[in-house]
Amino acid sequence: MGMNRTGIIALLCVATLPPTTSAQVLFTGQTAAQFYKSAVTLSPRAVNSGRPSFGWDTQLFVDGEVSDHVTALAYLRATNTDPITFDYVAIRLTDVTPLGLNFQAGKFDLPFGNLGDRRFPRKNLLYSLPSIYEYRMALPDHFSPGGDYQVIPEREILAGAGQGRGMRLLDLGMYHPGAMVFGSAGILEYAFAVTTGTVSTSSYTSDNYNSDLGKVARLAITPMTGLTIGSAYAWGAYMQAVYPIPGVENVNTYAERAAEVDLEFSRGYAVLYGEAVYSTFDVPITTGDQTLKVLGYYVEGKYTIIPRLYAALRVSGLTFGDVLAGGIQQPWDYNLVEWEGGIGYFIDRDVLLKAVRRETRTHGGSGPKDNLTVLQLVVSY
Amino acid sequence: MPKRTHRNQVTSVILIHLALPALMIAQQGRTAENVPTSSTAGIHGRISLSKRDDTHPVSMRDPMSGMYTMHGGNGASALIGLSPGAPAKLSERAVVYLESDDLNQGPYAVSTKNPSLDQKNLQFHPQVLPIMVGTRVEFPNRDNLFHNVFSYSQAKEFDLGRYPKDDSRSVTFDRPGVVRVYCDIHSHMSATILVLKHPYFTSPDDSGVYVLSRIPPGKYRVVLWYDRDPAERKNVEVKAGEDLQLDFTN
Repeated sequence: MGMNRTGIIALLCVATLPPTTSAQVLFTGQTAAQFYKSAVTLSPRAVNSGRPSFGWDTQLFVDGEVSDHVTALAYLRATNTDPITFDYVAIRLTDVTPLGLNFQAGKFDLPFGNLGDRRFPRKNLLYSLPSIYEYRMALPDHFSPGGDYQVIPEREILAGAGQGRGMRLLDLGMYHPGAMVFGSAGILEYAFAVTTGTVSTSSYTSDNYNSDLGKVARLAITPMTGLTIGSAYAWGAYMQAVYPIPGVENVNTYAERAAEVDLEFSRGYAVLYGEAVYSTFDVPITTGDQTLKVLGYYVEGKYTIIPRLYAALRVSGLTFGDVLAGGIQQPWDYNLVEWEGGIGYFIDRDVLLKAVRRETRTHGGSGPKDNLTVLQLVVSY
Repeated sequence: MPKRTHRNQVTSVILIHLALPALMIAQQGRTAENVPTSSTAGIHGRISLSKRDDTHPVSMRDPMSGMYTMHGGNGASALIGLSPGAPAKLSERAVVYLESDDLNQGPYAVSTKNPSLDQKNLQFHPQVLPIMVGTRVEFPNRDNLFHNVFSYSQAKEFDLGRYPKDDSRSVTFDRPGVVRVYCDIHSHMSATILVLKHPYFTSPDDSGVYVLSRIPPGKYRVVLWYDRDPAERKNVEVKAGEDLQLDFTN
């Protein structure tokens, strides 16, 4: 089991907070156990090659309230397929300036989008994260050297289409080491973060693989109760500096630029979320630099039918721009559309049973039709 | 409000034809002033719970609703200046009521004035609400954000959905029992509604003083309920015209 050393130290710090009268430490968590069966396809969305399987994941949240304005936070995650990982380890200072600014440093989720605690099974309306957070695109964050240099032939990009080996558009929960200021003014919320990587390159390891820093700015407005519209922009170098780039350029000049808008609306028994992300990647291709583009989106909603029982539906997708290969413009990955629907039943307030069906369609590739059926039991404590 | 009109009519009929002394007892232990006391008794006392925690989890910020995200969804509440207020007063956390099979026989009239369980400053107020079976409870939202009040308790299962500030929903509690009430958006919020078969219950004032009056003579178990659970039970026998002092020093 690999465990993030920084996370362990931070957890120990939280656990050994000075026993002042104001300090409080709260441990909470979630555990999910699921049975899943996907279609037997070569799609990267196929789970365990389509064999029926059981799985589990668990999250532990540690909330150390040092004082009214200082909080130490940690979030530990483990699954049956991933090692124990500290996704979130941060010190948060709230309302520490006359302007009401808040500050946090450590490792945290980037202020990009509105996924929020829907990333956790208890609040996730369905089973998967939206495809823009999970699907691996054709573009990797480092390339095998073409000769002595890190450049990629167009055909290698195209060969990666539908293989599920490259970056995610938004890398799972987008947790990064960094620092962030955030606050609000009336109906406006704002945030600015500087982190080691970009929204597509967080991954479980947190070292910075280039000399640039990721930057994220976000602004959201809540014009009425139940409606929040947000927008964010992120930019920074995304490539790993494992090999040199030809000429005077280096990986720091190859940037990802991502813009997004998101929406949350709720009223009565209905809740609706949506997010659209447009991202560009500067790529050192053998025949010359190109900028690859992708548009990702999802809309999901939940309706509480009767107490305890809800129905949920999500539509998500990725639409890829062109790469110039052999004189022909063609999409650099297969477009993807995914539907996920299901029902959730609260056996108890803290026990949720979900039955979910996911259908994935890609416009090409070795597994153009894929599906996944999941029965998941979630407890929170 | 047709339902309320109908309820008033029903109440009037009961008042005229039954004329039970208990009908004069106002809801939630607010005793009437003009009921003859020669054939009834009372219990009064003080609740001293100074050693109980004032750092109840309700004062903790909730890691599952906003602590790990600073934008959108539940996290928004952390950014608009709302945070759980100080622990609720004793008057909102404690209830004293009687247990007795005799008292459960009734019938009793239900107050036409609906009690309310407010959602304010990310807390329920009060945190323990005693009512009689058949009472309709209002759930007004006093916060400038959504709440989603629900309960999965056997005594009453409901989900009120999301509604804005100063709007309200109501629920009639037609079965006795303990109803745990939560907010689906802010999981630290919780309250308890005690649905009793009789009107012999009261809440203390902020100093802990409580008064139960116009009790029929008999043997009872006096229960102190604090927050989510019964804290103490005492057996007493009250006689006609007697005013019994019974303190709780849990």
